[in-house]
Amino acid sequence: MKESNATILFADLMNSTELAKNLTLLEYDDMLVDFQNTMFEVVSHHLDYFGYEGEGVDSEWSISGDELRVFLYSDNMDFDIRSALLIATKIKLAWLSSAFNQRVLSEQRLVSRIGVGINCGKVIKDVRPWRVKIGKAGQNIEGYAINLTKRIESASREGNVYQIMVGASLYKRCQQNKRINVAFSHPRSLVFKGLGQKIPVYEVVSFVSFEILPSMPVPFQEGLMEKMENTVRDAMPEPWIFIVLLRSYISMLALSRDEHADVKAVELAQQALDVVDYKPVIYNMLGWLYTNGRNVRNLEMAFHYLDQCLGLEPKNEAALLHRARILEEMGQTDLARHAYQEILFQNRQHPIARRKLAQYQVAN
Amino acid sequence: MTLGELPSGGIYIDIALGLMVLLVLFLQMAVQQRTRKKNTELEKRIAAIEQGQAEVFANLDKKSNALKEIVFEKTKPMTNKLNELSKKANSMLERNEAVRHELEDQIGPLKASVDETAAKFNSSQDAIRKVVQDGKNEIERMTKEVEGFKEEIRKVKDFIRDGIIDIEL
Repeated sequence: MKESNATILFADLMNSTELAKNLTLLEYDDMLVDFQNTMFEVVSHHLDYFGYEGEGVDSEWSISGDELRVFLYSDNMDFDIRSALLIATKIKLAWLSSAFNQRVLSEQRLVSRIGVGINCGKVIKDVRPWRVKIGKAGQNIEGYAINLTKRIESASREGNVYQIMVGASLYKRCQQNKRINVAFSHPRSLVFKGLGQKIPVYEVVSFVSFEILPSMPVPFQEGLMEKMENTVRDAMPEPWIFIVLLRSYISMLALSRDEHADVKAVELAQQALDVVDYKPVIYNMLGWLYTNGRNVRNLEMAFHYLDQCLGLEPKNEAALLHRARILEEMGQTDLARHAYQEILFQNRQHPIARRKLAQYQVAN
Repeated sequence: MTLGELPSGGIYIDIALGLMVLLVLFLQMAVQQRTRKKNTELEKRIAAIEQGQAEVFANLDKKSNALKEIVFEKTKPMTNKLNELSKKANSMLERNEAVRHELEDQIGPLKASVDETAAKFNSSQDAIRKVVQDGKNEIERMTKEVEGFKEEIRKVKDFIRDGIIDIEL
């Protein structure tokens, strides 16, 4: 018996009961086969790509019907949380681009979606005697965190951005860890059956990671950008796809893979402002694009969008840093120094702001 | 007149036939005479031709003999010279053969030594070639490794750069 801190992810097909009712048994089975294959490909590739050993050492996972369960316990909770967020986004992306959903999209019907719940907490891993007796000595994982995650996942239907719900423990951990660029909605206090008290649940409203697309299984990467581009042209695009697609354009620009991606990215970001509720991330992306995009470079526009971001989130460190850099580039030394001081006021340990201010002091 | 006294058609025919025979005889005699005359002329011509031919043969013999004499006179000295040359060439060949035998006797051991040296040289050349090839392969392998490493570094740099952008968005 071993107690571990685990990050738990539950995912299942939304409205699967309704689908089972409307589809023939054969059609429903086809959909489940496609779903299970997609989950298998994405999760197994992800764990391998990120160096998980699996088989109960640092992770395990299973698929049953329309449900996916993933347990990560690598002794590095931040790593596991980032992994769980990546898995959640990747399975949604893979399912969106699956044969089943592409057929649905081509018929201009609403695509099937996946709801996800993620939470952190203590679990107990143990090999039960009955398992040994039947010759399947795999360990059981038990704990309150698992029950809670299942409830959190069931709340994902109420989400309207990523439909990835997280519990308070994961939320707090992400607030402390600035290295994961994830933003959450305001908490929703929900009463879950059997838990007897209100539980805060947060929806992921923005998750920016350059690793989403490169860490997808290779067969899924082919044509994925085009599929996302087609999806955002749809009448009712899901907001999270804008963020994933914009981040991919920014990677293409940063790594010089497509020098014209900035034009497409700016257009998409403008479109995203109408669709995405959580706007600071889009403003920051626009700020980055107007600063670094060769074809759209306009520092005043960049400054404008960063100001917009700071109007919504005055403590947004990314926007403060970009603004300071733009002022520096414009030759507004005093204002730039002031902007760096403002960053230090928010975060006294900010390494870039400290270095820049030290340089200014030496210059004077 | 009796029937026997009457002139019959047979007498006329006989006379006519007799006249015709006589005519034919005259004609034959004339033809024979002409033929004889022609034969005599032909015999004369043949005799003249034969005489001419004999003269021609005689002339040909004479000229042929003269030509033979001329050719003989012209080729005789050359034949002598050719004979002399042939003799000289034979003696040279004999001398050369003797020298070759002598040389072979002398360079036999030397050739064996040279062959041995050449074999040694070839084998050492192969060894050197092998060493050079091995070195080349090793350099190629190292180059590939360095290129792979360079690619890895590029990926890591891209990873870090992209990761930093994540935090700054």
